[in-house]
Amino acid sequence: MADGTNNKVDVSVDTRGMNCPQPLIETRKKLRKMAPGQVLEVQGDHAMSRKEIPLAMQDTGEKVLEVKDEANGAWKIIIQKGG
Amino acid sequence: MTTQITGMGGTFKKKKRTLISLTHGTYGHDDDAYGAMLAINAILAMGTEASLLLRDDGVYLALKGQDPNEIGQENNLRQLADLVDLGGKIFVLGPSLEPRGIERSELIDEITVIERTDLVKLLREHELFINF
Repeated sequence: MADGTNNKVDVSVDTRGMNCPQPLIETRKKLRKMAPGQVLEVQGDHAMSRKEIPLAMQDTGEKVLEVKDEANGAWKIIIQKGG
Repeated sequence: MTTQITGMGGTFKKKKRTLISLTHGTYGHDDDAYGAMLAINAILAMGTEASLLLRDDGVYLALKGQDPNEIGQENNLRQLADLVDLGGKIFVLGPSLEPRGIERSELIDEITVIERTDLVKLLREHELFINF
């Protein structure tokens, strides 16, 4: 599965309609079950979470491959799980 | 929770293992139980180790089968499930159960019941303590 860029997505999570900190919580729950190197696509529309999720990933060794803004305040964040 | 340390080229963060204690009842206390759950799950999701200690009326949070739909509250069991999925630990202070007529079998499986003598060890295992 591809995400529309060049990143192969292994797992997706849709957090649209959720408020902070639930999008980050759902992101971390998915990442904990993934293998190193796998790619997670997070969809959301909560503005604070768009900033918060990449910051949290920096602290734990995950690699943010892309933050993509979409229509109506929605966004996608592509994350590669660290080793 | 983190301590910010200014260094070369930016700010580095030292994470602190956090213990959150809840002493208040579960529903009708959004600023206590609900706030404690939001806080600990956010801390865990940020990548910091954290544990939840339920004592006094806080032990009601771990009751199996709780259903607050009739009073229009969100069920805290969903947040407890998130806590477990995020790798957090839940401790219940045993001496808080008997005065409230609660048996261990009435609580969710994922908890660990501890005695007062275990409190010091638990506190020493954590660097930051927050009470709700």
